[in-house]
Amino acid sequence: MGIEVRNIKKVFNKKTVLRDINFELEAGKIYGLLGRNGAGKSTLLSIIANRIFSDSGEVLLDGESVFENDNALGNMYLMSERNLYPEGMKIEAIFKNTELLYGAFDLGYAQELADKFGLDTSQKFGKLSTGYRSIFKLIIALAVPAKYIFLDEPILGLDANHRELFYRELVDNYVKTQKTFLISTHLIEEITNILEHVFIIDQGEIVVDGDVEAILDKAYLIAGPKEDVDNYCQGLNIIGQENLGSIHGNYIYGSLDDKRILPDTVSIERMDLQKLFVNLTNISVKGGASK
Amino acid sequence: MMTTKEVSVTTYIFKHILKQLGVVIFWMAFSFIFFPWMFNGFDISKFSLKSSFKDIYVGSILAFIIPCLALFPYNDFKLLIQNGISRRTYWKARLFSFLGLSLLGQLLGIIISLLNPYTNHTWENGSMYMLLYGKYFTSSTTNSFLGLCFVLISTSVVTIIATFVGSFFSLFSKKTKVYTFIGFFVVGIVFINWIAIATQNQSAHVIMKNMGQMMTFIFGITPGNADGKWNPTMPFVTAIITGIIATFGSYKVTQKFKIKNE
Repeated sequence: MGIEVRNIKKVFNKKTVLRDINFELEAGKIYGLLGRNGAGKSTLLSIIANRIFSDSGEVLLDGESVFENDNALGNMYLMSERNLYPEGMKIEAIFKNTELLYGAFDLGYAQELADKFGLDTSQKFGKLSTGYRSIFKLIIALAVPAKYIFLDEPILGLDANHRELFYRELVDNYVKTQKTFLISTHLIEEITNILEHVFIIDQGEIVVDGDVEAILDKAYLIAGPKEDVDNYCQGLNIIGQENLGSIHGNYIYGSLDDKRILPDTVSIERMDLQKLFVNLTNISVKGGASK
Repeated sequence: MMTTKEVSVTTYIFKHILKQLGVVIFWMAFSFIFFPWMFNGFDISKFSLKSSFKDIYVGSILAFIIPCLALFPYNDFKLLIQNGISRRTYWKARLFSFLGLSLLGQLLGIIISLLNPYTNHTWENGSMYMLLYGKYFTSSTTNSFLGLCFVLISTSVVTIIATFVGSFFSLFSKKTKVYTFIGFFVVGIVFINWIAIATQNQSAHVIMKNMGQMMTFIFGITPGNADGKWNPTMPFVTAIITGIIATFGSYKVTQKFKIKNE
């Protein structure tokens, strides 16, 4: 049970944006959808939420297609960069409309969050700054009674204080409601700690799909003199390289062979999610990333 | 039976259109007061509220305004898809709301013309149907009843057509819409020009004649019968068939709605 994305393909103006995307979202987890600009993240989320159509494939929620399915669509909420709310409508009116259309929207909680973030609900949506538009949409995302929440660049325009507050509220909401969150973002470092599972999408393909812990267990930086490092890394999946003076570093994604003898001059360090992401999606060096 | 979601969406759309209609009616009332006052040189002694309102055909005005409001469906679609509403539910709710308002508008128009002490006309005076078909039956009650039915059906059909046309144009980007309108304008001008020269061209003359016969058939024009005595069967049939086609078309087009990159 949960959301299944099956064989999604999408072509825009003869350019393939998504090619055969497959993944599953289990209920009650926080997922990360990471990808560079133009990787197809927003397109994928829009297809899942039935805002645009895929050229092939399907999206299922608890085994039922989400296409033209009010029950399924009512169990999802996509907060996107694109503003779909009427510019001339007041925030409080939008809250009330959301309550009318979604059902059990938690107005009290929304107001409480608005107070915490300093959002004036008597303002019109069109008058809000980019940051406050994001805050407003985040509030709806947290207060809406949907089980699956998709956040596309949720911290767009938010200052550091608001970002901190958002992460706290997100985790608090997750603990209380056990909703499923799928967060698409560029600011990977900030969000790593709250993600349980990540999908890395590159050039329209999912190149990594796994639990954060398991993924990071397979991500290493092997550093030392170039010759020693290259000898040690022979046969390993090198996804990137770096030089700092005489020190050479190879980024590895995959299991290390225990039988290899580690020279004294070579060190092995763990890679963080951001470094892994950068190396996997770097166009100049394309290592064969394995899922 | 409507689902809870369909009721919620219909309620939202109905209220939203009602609000828009309220704004339009406010400006209309303002215009009906302001222009007579202005043309009387802003002289309050010459201004009469009674004469300002006596010639208003509320039903006809609403029959024009409500379809105009139905021409712009995209903003509602954006909000509703953001709120997890399917295209089918959106289409159904929108159709019900506009049809409901359209019927209410016509009933309101008829009631006002019956009750308004200032008005100097009856609803039949403003009805094209009564003018062309209103004397077909010997019973004036039957004629009036059919006239009333036709008003309700035809305004509903016009509203559905507007929904269809509005939905169709919502599929395109702003740029494409502008080019399409220019295209329609040019084609319209060429068509008018073509009609003007049709009498001089033998083949065009035949086409015009055929078109005339088709219009005669569609509108039930009965040669030899005086105005008011034309057969009303065909206008009813035409309206109902057009309504069914437009309903089906608007549904199919709404199914293609998507969030645009603009």
